Amino acid sequence: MKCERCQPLIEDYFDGELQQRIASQVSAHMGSCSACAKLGAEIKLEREIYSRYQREVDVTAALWANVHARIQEEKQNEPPPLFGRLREWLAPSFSAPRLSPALAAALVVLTIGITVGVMSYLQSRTSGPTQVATKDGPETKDPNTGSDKQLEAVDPNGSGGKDTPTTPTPLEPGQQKLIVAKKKTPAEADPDRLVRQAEQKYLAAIAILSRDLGSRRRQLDPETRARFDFALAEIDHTIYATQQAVRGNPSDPIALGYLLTAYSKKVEFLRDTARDETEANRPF
Amino acid sequence: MGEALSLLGQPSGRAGALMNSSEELIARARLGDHEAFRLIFDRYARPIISFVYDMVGRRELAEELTQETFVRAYKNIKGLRDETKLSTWLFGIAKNVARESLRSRIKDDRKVGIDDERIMELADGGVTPHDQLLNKELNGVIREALGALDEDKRLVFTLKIFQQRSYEEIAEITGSSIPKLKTDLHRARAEMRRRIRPYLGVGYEV
Repeated sequence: MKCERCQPLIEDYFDGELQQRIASQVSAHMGSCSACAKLGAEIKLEREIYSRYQREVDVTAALWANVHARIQEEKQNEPPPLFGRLREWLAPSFSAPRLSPALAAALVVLTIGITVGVMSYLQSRTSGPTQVATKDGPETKDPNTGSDKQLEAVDPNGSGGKDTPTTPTPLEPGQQKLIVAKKKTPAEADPDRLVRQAEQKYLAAIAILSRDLGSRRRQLDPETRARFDFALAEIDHTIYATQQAVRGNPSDPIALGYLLTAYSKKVEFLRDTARDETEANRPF
Repeated sequence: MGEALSLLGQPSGRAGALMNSSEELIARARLGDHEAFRLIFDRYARPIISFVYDMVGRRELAEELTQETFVRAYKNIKGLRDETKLSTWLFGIAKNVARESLRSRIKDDRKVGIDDERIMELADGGVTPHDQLLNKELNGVIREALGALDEDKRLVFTLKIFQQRSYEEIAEITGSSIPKLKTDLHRARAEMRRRIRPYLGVGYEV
């Protein structure tokens, strides 16, 4: 081994970073070359000096006590277990102390109304500026009833995607909820059938919204994208938990109600995000 | 420093428990075993606080950031994928914590501050007064030299020279490539060497 080859390796030699074969060559060269041996001795001396370096810090009992206190504090601030969190999160939607089957059916109808609103919203997004222009126009109001004309086109049975409104003019979700609830009273509803229908609607709406947002997600700034992904993951986690609960007790109206509400939360979230994005990108 | 803990000086029960493998301790800590996390702390607190101190150069800040490191570790221990790399993982957290702290300082204050007035009072047994004085002086010189390195160089120098981590480990901790680490380390050594050169060969013959 020559000096030019040996000298750049001396630091790694003392750091133990060389393969055995090369380390042996470096060692042998230093044994026969005074210049490289001198360099090696200097590096060795430096290492010795650094090994004597003493810091004015130490691990004290107070250090652990503080860590321990912080951990206890963190534990206290931890959110409750999943089901508790779920109840907490959904509490506003289920303020009644107990859910009767009739009330559950009413909730189902209500959530279907939200879905119809979402579908209408989606249609309005894909129908071009003509429909958007009519959104705020006074002609959408029925002068006789005071209700939105297009609500008459909403399928009163609240069935699948094929039966979504044929009139694409958008509706305010709140208005639709009221109208749909009027058209389908809880007493008339079959909870099991409506649950399946609502689930299908939600899944369809989620698929469309996700596809729509998916293409725009990449354009979001990293922080917004991370927040979006995190929120979506939380909702998906909740949906999964409610699906498990329904699987465990398929006829439990409370579990069904939670499941549908979890779906509706996802739809709402996606819809609001899509709306915000549209607003943000609208030229002035 | 009077109440400093020493691993060797701990009660025998704890010392026995220290035989636990990192994998076991992690598994227990994940299940909420408080004692297991305490043992992890006992095992790694000293290298972590030394590393953080070398990075930030201030004792109180180093203590605070070490606390933060272990609190974050506790909160995220379920996310540790490879149990065999606990120390690398902890150093990674400590690096992040130290860097966040350094970057939160104003630009003019970025260089690590040196606590000149608080030279070490620790004395080695068996060294002469002259050596003690030299030690104190040299400690101050090394701290100053470390503080003068830029952040990347200080990071790799500290991990390699003081914590004796391999290049692979340092690459995992820092996220830098090994060639970059080698370059930074070589430059850091050269800068440090310039600063300690007056002490080479003075009372430190090997």
